Amino acid sequence: MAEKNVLIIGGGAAGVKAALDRVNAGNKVFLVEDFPSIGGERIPQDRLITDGASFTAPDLGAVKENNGIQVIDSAEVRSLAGENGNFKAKVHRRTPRIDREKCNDCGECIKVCPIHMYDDYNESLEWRTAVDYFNSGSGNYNVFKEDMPVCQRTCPINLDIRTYVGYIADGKYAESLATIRKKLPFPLSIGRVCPHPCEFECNRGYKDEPISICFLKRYVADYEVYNEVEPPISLPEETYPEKIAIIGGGPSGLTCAYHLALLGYHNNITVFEALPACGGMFLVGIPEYRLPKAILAKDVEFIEKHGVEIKTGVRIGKDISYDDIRKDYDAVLLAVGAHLGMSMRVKNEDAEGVVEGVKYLRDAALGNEIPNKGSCIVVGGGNVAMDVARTSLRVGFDEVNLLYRRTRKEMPASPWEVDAAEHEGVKFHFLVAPQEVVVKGGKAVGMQCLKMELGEPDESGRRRPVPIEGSEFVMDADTIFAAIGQVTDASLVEEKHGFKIGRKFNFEVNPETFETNVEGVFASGDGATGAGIAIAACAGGKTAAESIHKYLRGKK
Amino acid sequence: MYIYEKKGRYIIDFQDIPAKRAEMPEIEVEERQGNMKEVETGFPEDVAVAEAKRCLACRRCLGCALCWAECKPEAINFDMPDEDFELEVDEVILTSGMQRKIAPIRGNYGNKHMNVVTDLQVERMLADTGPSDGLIFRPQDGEIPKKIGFAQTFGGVDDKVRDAALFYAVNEAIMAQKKIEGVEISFVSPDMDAFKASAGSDLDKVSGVNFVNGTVAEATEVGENKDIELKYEVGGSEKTETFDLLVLLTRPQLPPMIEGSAKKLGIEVNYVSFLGTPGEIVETDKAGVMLAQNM
Ligand SMILES: Cc1cc2nc3c(=O)[nH]c(=O)nc-3n(C[C@H](O)[C@H](O)[C@H](O)COP(=O)(O)OP(=O)(O)OC[C@H]3O[C@@H](n4cnc5c(N)ncnc54)[C@H](O)[C@@H]3O)c2cc1C
Ligand code: SF4
Ligand code: SF4
Ligand code: SF4
Repeated sequence: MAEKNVLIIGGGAAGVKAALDRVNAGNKVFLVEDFPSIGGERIPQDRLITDGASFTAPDLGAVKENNGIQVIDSAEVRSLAGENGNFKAKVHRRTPRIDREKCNDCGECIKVCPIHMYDDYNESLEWRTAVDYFNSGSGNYNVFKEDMPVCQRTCPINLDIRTYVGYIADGKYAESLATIRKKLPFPLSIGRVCPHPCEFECNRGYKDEPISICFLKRYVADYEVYNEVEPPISLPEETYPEKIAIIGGGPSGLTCAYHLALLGYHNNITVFEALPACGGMFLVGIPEYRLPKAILAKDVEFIEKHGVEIKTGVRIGKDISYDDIRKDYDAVLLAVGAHLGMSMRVKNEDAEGVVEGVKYLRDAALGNEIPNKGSCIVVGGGNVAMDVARTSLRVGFDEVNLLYRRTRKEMPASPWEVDAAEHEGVKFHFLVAPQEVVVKGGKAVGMQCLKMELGEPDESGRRRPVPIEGSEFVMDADTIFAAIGQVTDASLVEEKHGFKIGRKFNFEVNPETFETNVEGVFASGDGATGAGIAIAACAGGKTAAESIHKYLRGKK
Repeated sequence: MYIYEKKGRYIIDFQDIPAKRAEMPEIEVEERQGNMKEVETGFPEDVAVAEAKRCLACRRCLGCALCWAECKPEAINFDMPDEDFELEVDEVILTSGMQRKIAPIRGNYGNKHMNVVTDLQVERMLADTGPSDGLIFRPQDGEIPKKIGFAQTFGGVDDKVRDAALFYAVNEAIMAQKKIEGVEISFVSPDMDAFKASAGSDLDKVSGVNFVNGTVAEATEVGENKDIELKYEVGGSEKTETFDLLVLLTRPQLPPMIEGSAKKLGIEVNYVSFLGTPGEIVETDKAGVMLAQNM
């Protein structure tokens, strides 16, 4: 048989064995592994080693000696396609920064390196230095330099946290804020409401408590406002002529507009917003007691001053058609969010007195009439449910009861939101599932519920609630709020426009570029990814701006 | 010796830098009634600056070049570039790779207790080239545990994946018995009865391990030694047992590189696809693409 070239992806025990098999049959092997070492996964997963056997010991020596195997470690497969007999692959290997031909395995470098970090190869049981080796004896040394610290890597928009926090320590607040604004135009708003995934990863948390990253951002943003400093605005001199329409003036659309301005499209960007003001869920979702409207307005004003035209009170698909937008603009971003409440799937859900949580918050924010008397029930365990419950207490309800199917621990809401709601007087009812809205005279008067208990755990370790038979009871209420998730209203486009629409009625996009399947049209934020957190919507808007720029420049 | 210390232990205490993070000031609950006043009022300046100083400014290599100065054969080259390979091959073989997920249990968010480890950490401890020359130890004080608990906190996965996770961990328990004379081991899994059927008579050969079909509820740190108290339910009643070391089982899944490669080739694989006869290389729907079964 003629010699074949074989690509093996994954350098664990199975990959090593496959490599030796293939090379012994007279082939040439490329073994790609993303770790700096090979030979992991040594414990059998299909049998017990009761007969005194040991773990699998991959023959690394044989691999090293065999010229027919080329080990490409610290590498990833970037592209891969083809047919039997002819596959093409692109593999990217991160530099070890140490010449393995020259290195003589003396280990001196490790002794002098001042960086001590936990060793993820050894599952953090040991420390390593920034220069290290893997597979003792192989001389497989490398210098590990990260592009970003873990907090920055975790932040969806990759804010340079280390730098902006460092500036605060030095009292350089303007520099700190400028660092944030390189990427994020919403420091006042995000500094108040971000659930800060970065803080859960912060390395200081391993010692005592994580850095209060989010509120420090708020501090420098507030500093500018309280000291009445005019925010600095700088736009590039080189400009481009193409016109871009952004549909939806929420965090995602406005962040996209801001970055397009910074890229040179200022004065050619128009944001269309259906509501009387911009901000999206910052304005009509998140209640005023968490994010004051006047504060939000400052962030929006900052963006507007970057040569971004904002047209409020214009709903695309109603006031202006999507086709007209397509005609008049060179590129379009759909950043329409997710504003339709999901159904509770219980009987009599459409009775009077049953209200979608997001609609209620929107009406409250816009000063429209809202129910506010007697007692209410809030169904749901997420942050939206907390906002509905805490708002209800403020607008006049005497009693607010919140129903959740599982226990407090399984609630998706941020724990500090749950604590605040409880503190303020919301009554929580855990392990209770709504079954049917009780209706009298066409109006909801209560909810029939079923008690639950926790059953077996699921994949994530959350235990499934199972109903307790015969445990039905009725809870009285004048108003019932459903806060169990939101989906997108994609009706601004029609079927003939050919968009791929996802499960949450969202616009399906390439997750790396945020392009839709329609040329020249991009989508980001909740309307593309499904309801998420604001900073992720902002990050999507930023990436979309970069993609739009690439698309428009590529066309010229 | 520092190998027995866990991450973060090396961070130095500075007297002028607070250990506790700053707390956000809020208006009183009474002040919130009937209005939409902002609840959180923001840090004062001194609090913000003190909080910012707590940041460790994390980075990895800081480019001090001490190693470079020390290296006699001048092997260290900070400018060495990344490399790109374009490969043309006749055949592609995918392996399962190693990616495992931990399901946190109550009282133990994100593996915070020192003496709670994962089965992956035990794998490292058992390795001769690992951090402890093959010894199982308690990260908190480096002592050899006399009583070890294994707990499976996830459920609802494919039977074969569940069995793979359990075989993996039970093998570790067997190794632990060999390494630590007289060690007591309890093994709690909601799928233990089902696993017993899969493992067959081999499991009966494992003596001295208390296999429990139970659901894990909570793990808490107790006493000065920071032992771990595990609460679990067996047949409707709650049990409590205290261990020197608690090992959490992880759920195996495919790493992004393997999943991505399969997708690029247009084939569907999952972890189960790699659980056949050990070491065998099997064909897929797409000619020229093979799967190497787990060893
Ligand atoms: C109640 C609630 C509380 C939340 N709390 C938090 C929180 O504390 N922290 C956090 O990080 N995230 C929170 N979120 C999520 C966060 O607000 C969203 O992820 C974020 O706002 C999404 O941004 P977006 O720009 O994609 O969409 P949106 O903010 O929804 O903005 C979309 C905009 O498009 C407009 N629009 C829609 N259709 C059209 C059309 N046809 N023509 C013109 N305009 C249109 C809408 O009016 C809206 O202004 C919360 C969400 C809700 C609902
Ligand atoms: S690896 Fe980086 S931090 Fe460590 S000694 Fe070398 S240059 Fe300095
Ligand atoms: S201490 Fe936390 S905030 Fe500071 S750089 Fe490290 S991970 Fe980021
Ligand atoms: S072990 Fe380190 S110091 Fe020694 S030769 Fe290799 S790179 Fe240089």
